[in-house]
Amino acid sequence: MSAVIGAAYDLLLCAGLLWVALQAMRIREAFGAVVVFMVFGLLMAVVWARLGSPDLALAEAIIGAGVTGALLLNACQAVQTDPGARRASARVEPSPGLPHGLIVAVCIAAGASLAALMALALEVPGPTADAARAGADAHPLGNPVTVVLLDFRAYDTLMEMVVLLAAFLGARVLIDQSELAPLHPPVPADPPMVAPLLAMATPVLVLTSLYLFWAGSHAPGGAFQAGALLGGLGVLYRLTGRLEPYDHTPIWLRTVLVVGLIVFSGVVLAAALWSPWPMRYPETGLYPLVLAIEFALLLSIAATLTALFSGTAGFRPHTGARS
Amino acid sequence: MNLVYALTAGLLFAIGLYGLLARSELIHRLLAANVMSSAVFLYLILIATAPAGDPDPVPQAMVLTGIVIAVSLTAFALALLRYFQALNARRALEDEADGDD
Amino acid sequence: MTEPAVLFAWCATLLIFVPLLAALAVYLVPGRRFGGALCLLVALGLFVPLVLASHALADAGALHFAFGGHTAPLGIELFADGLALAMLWLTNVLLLAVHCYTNSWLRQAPAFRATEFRALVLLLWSGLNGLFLSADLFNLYVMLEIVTLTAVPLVVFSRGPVALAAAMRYLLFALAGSIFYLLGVALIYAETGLLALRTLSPEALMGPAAVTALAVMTAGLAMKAALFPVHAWLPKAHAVAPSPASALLSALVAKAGAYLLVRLWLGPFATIDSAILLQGLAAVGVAGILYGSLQALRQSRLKGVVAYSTVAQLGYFLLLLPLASLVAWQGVIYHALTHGLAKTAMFLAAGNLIRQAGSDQLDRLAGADRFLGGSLMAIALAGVSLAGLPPTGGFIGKWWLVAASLEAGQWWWALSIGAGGLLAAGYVFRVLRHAMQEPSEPTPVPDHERVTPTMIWVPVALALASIGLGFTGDLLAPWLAIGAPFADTGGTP
Repeated sequence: MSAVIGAAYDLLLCAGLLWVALQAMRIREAFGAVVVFMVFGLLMAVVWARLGSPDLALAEAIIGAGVTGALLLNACQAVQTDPGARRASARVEPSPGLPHGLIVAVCIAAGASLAALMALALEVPGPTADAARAGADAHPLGNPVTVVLLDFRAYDTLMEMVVLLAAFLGARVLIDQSELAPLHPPVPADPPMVAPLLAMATPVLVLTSLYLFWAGSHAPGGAFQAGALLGGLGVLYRLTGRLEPYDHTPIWLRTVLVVGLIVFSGVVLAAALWSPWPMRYPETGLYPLVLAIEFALLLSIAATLTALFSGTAGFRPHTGARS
Repeated sequence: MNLVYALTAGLLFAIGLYGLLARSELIHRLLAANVMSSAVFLYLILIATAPAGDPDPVPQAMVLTGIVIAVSLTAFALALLRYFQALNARRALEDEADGDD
Repeated sequence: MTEPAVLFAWCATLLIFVPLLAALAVYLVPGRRFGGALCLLVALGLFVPLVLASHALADAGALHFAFGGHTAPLGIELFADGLALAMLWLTNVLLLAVHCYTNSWLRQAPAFRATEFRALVLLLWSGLNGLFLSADLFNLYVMLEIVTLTAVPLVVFSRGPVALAAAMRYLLFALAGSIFYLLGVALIYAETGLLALRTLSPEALMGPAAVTALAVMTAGLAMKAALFPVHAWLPKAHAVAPSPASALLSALVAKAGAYLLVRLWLGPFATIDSAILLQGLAAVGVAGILYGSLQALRQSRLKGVVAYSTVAQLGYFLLLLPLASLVAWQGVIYHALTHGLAKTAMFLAAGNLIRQAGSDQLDRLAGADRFLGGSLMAIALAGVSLAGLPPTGGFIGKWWLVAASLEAGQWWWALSIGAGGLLAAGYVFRVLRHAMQEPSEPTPVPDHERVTPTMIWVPVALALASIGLGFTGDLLAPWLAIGAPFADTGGTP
């Protein structure tokens, strides 16, 4: 009986996913498409949980739906507030200019063949998987995903932080050239309830973030989910004016943005002291070292996401009384 | 049951491809690219969890990395969009100034 | 005491992490002079690991190592052979030249955001070195994204709607390219459960999933490399970017995609050797050579000519697929080296023309030979090498490719190479003809303040190096053959 309910649930979920994705592609108006896309992100998080990947469910819910959604809504809000922005939406020419019928035909053909191919190639021979499972079993860190992210394929994780930093640097240059008034300027006074709600949300989010960070070594969670959650708190503070826009990136913020990369790269190179191979952890002291790297990553991720959302060169704590 | 999800992944990729080819606005094409990435991520997780026993952690780690990269690309693309709006706003102001003469 | 593999491991790590850490330092410590000095120091210092790695490779052949000692299939491996070594050397030489040039160039551009520019260039450098060294399919995806997200912002440093439109288009092509590549990685993982290139056996990659993977990866990488017919983003982006960035984009970034294509087709997918397919791909390459050259002949701006020339020159990479011999392999690498040097020289010289003449419109170059002698000489010398006239480096690369075509009995590629050379000579001489014309109106007084001697001798030196490669063919050939996928059949070099 439960198998039938499960199957029906899966079918509904997949149908919903496809329908929502199609709507996100078809809705003309940007705001509507973005809202539908956020629903898509939430459905994906449910799919991950359903497929037994709680790490991903957490990441998708916080990063995929949460942060991406906030960024996209930011862009929509800007369209509504900036003069002149309404009259044209950013078109990327040339749109390939193919006849619509041809596009539909190509996509149907691609979809059908890919779906068939993917359905057929599901049984994976697993040299990598076997090696990773065996390696993770013998590893001092208990969560196999964390073991892969921070040891076996740590190089990928480090380089992904470079991608994040490059995105911020690129956005930073554009912000400087835009010379627009910042989004979310400081508000003269809080609407009622904001202060008590934030007072409640702050410890909850900080504690959850720290829990995810600490739990990541043996249970679902880790630096990325924790950092994104803390970044979410930064977004709240920016929205309510507790962090105010600032026209340059202060040194403390620059330091936090890169601290993850500095600590991680430092460990890669410091391996010369105890091993013939770069990025090799020492036999003893692996756990504190990984924890230090993860904490630095957490700070960098939170700061970068807040700064990207902020849409300004930097931000600083709101000082003085609200006038 | 994975079969249904695999079919979904293939179709999702095609839906994203449709958005990428048929729409011309940057923000819609960005959503389309995100849908396509999600389709690939879904497929990666399927091959991680398809066999019985513990899931394969490597694709899960790949998808986590991929999600962060997707956010980075989206954030930068949206900064481009904002610059576009700034240029438009400037042009609108200039047009107004011209109109006053 | 150190084995070659360990020595190589640390050299490779330094090549990737020193530019990365330098980027962080440039970002943290403000000040243009510090940034400029640090960039030069890094460029000079990295020749040490490069020389050591070259010697390790010369002693031991192609080398690989795994980060953390987690060898494949568990971890991520880096790998270097003659091809990777050549690209690393090219990257280092060009970055040194571009940093020298940028330091002078920035002095006249006080409003330019030098810190972010240098940081992004350093991250791009780290990403390129990492990409040329990587031997892991998924890690290559991450490196491709680093290259994308550092290269696209470089375009928008030139402000304004043209730069913005070019950057948006570039970003979308790059984004689509990465997704297709990633789909290919997922399909290969599904078929084989492997990511490391070394462990992927060609026999395991014959199923429908693997063939589809090869198709989507080829499409994705072609978008990244701007191979004809998915080149639409390149000419605009490369023409509008600030000149030092244009040089890097044309000479290195576009080649990264082509480099990966060669790695895949001659590596794990070498068993897919259907003659029709390979001939077809090379025909697409030739179409790119012809189309790019013809467009270059029609451009009204100097940087447009140089950018379309890149579309043309990238086509030569695809000729390697049907020829598949050691001589062709060496020829393509040699062509990549000379093209990198010549293209950087041309873009930097074009930057000087824009600075002094105020524009790179070809019809406003008349009389430019009077006051822009150095920059024009750089363009002329680089052009001679691009056209493949003897005794330049371009000639050697093309000559080896022609020899490989004739040896393989595929004379039609030799003809295409000849045609490509003639067309290149055409668009180079068209530029020079404009510059040598008598000006119809009095030449504007050049502003010598704006172009320092460094900005002239850097492109001249690069152009001379591109010609000088014409005399080092025999010397370099054995280095390029290290770890080549083809046995030495006693060809020309």
